[in-house]
Formats: sequence, C-alpha cells, structure tokens
Amino acid sequence: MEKGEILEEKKVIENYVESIYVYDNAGVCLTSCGIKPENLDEHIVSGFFTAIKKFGQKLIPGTVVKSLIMSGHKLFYNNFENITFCIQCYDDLPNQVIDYILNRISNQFLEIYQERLPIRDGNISIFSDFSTYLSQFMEQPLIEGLLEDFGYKVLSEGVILFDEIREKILFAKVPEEYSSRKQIAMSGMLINFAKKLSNEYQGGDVNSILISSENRWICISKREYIYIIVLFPKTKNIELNIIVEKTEEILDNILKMLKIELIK
Amino acid sequence: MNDTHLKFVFKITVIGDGGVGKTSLIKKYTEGTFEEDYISTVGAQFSFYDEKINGDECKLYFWDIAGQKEFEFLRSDFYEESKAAIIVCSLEENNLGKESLNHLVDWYEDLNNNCGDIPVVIFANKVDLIDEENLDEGYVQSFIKEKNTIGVYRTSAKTGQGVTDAFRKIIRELYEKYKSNI
Ligand SMILES: Nc1nc2c(ncn2[C@@H]2O[C@H](COP(=O)(O)OP(=O)(O)O)[C@@H](O)[C@H]2O)c(=O)[nH]1
Ligand SMILES: [Mg+2]
Repeated sequence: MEKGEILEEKKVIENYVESIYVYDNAGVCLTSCGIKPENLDEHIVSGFFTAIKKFGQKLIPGTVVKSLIMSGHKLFYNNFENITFCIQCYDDLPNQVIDYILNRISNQFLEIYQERLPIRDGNISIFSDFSTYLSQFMEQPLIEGLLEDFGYKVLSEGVILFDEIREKILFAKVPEEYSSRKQIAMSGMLINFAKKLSNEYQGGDVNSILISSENRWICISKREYIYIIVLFPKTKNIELNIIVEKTEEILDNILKMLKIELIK
Repeated sequence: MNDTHLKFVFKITVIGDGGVGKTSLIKKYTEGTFEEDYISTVGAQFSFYDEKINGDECKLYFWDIAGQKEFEFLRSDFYEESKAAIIVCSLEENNLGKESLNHLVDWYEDLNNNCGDIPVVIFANKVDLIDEENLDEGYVQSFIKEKNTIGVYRTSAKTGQGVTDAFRKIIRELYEKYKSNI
C-alpha cells in the first residue's frame, strides 16, 4: 500500500487544537504546547485542572472528569494512572477525533516515560524532549492521520475519500491501480443507482453499499458531497456490521471537520 | 534548554487555620505585596516562585489550601505528591492566634497521615503584631523537636520579616535533597 495523500490544502492538528497539557496528580505540568494566555503559567493551569479532577471525584465517587465544555471551546482529558493528558480545542471538533489525538499523544508519552513515572524527585527536565515531539505533532495533517488510523484499525487494504463537488480525491491510500477516475466515478454512479433502487422499495436515502465479491469486501459510503471507498480482503475475518458502522462514523467525523470554519 | 542544567518543580502544600496569613505570606514572597483585606481562599489557590540554583531551574509550586472546615472534604486530596509543607500559625494575642497554635499538631498529623515524612516548616506569622521580647515560644519549640520539622520561622507578611529566609530555607532543602539523588 502506498502512502496516503491529500490533494487539497493541508489542515494540520494545530488548526484544530489550541493547546495540549500533560500533568501529574500533584498538578505539576510535565510538558505542554500550543497557545496559552499571557501571564498564565502552565502549572497554574494544570493545578486548577487537577483540583477540578479531585473535586469531581469527591462529588461523584468513582468518576473522573472527562471534559469541560465552554462556549466555542472544549477541554478533553485522558487519564492514565498518575498522568493526565489534556487538549483544548474548538468545540465542533468531533469527540472521536479528539480521542484519536489524545491516544496518540498518550501512547507516545507512555512509551517513552512510563518506566520513569511517577516523578518522585520533582525533576521535570526529562520531559523537555517531549515538548519538541508535541510541536512536531501539531504540524501533522489531521484528516490524513485519522484515515490512516481508521484503515489500519479496521484492517482495510485501502481507503479513498472523494469530494464530489470539487471532483477531487481528498485522500487515497490504495494500490495505484485502484484510484483511477473511472473507479471513483463508478462508485458515485453506483450510489446514485442504489438510491433509485432504494426508492423503488421505499428504503429512503442510501448511506452505504457493501459489496461482497469473490476477493474483497467493498464498502462505499456517502454523506452529502463526500464519499469514501474502503477495500477489505476476503481472507480476513471481519464483521460486516462493524465495517459499515465504522466507515460511516469516520465519514461523519470528516464531514464535520471539513465544515469547521477555521479561525486560524 | 542547556542539557547540563536541570529543571525542578517542587509542590509545596501550605496549611494552617483560616486567617493566619497563608495566602498573604505566599503573596508577599512571590509578588512582594501585602493586603490588609482578608479574602478567604476558595478551596485552593496556586502560585509559584522561580529560583535558579547553580544554574538549575527550581520552581516552588504552592498549593495554598483553604483552612476552613468547609473544605476539609477535599483537603487531603490536594496534598498528593507534595514535596514539602508549610504549616502556618499566628502569634497574635487573641483567639485566632491561640487556636492556631493548638491546631499545629492536628495539621501536622493530617499531613503526616497523607504524605508521610515530608519536610515541614512552621511559620509563626504576624510577628509584627506582638512584642517579640515577651514572646513565649516554648510550645512551638517543643512541638518542632517532637515532630522533627526543619524549623520554625517568625514571619510577618506585613513587614516581610523572616519571609524570604523561611522560603529560601525550603527551596535549598529540597534542592539539596533531590539534586543529590540524581
Ligand atoms: N498584621 C499582620 N496581618 C497579617 C499578616 N499576615 C496576614 N495578615 C492579615 O491577616 C488576614 C488573613 O490573611 P490571609 O493571608 O488571607 O490568611 P489565610 O486564611 O491563612 O490565607 C488578612 O487580613 C491579612 O491582611 C501579618 O504578618 N501581619
Ligand atoms: Mg488563604
């Protein structure tokens, strides 16, 4: 499979995420990146978040604060034993996308530092490398990353995302012979044809078509002006309802993201 | 950052009865100011102080925890992972002052139960309000011997007396302790 690519203007994580904080249960900020209000130290921010977390646990025992919604913005938290990962972003960023970002950061962080946690000696010098990682992470394309992660998770052989209005492939991660104009146009035609058929049976709008062929499952989903084609090998044991569900979910999220009017 | 220099953050819990001057002392040390008006701390307040020692960056990270009974339910959670604690009492000759001395042992035990044997410094505050010559510190002295604290400092958030020395002592103590472990 070749590297996925996107043909429209790059939108990187930084366009959607305002800041990231990683802190421990003492409220000590281990590392952070992004925009911060002037004169507001990162430890003050993480101190308040820690206090809110602890307060939440008192208010409803056995729970943990997962998010904080503000007008236009939201904060999401991912807790791992002693460490909390927090991202601050625009409130229309879909939650699954936030989970994807939080998971990537947490996995990377724990992979490097887990052995050395918790910090017993107050020495946070070891985390300075991670702020470099975070800055680079913020510059990575988001939609491509999501689609790659999606393809990988559902064991697909290839993913193509197409914008019907602009007649553009937004993302393709497939063997070259599978992403021609002809193949994509046929997928569009098939959806339109399926709609007609569905109407005949009073089935209403068509969300997805799943084709079971000798060698592959081919799942085509459409939302408004974008559609996605996902190829799965027949050889792998994949649950059909999951294929369709997950494909529709990722498409919904991407549509939401394409609609976000970026302030930056 | 220069590779050879380290960056430390020491969380310091500041406790003691409400009104003894916890918030004022931190404010005096971190901002150099003092206010007569009493603004009750809601739950916890955070502030920090940066100091460079031998090129290493040390940050004292204060958790100023409300002393009032109403906040008891949260208090011990706020102690988590403190590297040191300051227990503040007031020397003023009134009920608040006397009570705050009597409560030193309770504060100490509350802390000890939650944090174990971390360094503790006692600030006997509002020294500007009394005549130091007539001061009987017997009780505090026997307390610190018995409880193995780092020391007791007579302070005044108002005049600044003793404040810098007391905070300096903590920063040095922690720095030496943790630096030598590396
Ligand atoms: N004269 C005098 N007043 C003080 C001193 N420290 C604090 N105060 C006053 O005592 C009151 C309570 O102080 P505060 O710092 O809010 O106490 P906290 O509840 O322990 O945080 C305020 O009115 C302060 O202005 C001091 O050293 N001398
Ligand atoms: Mg206070």
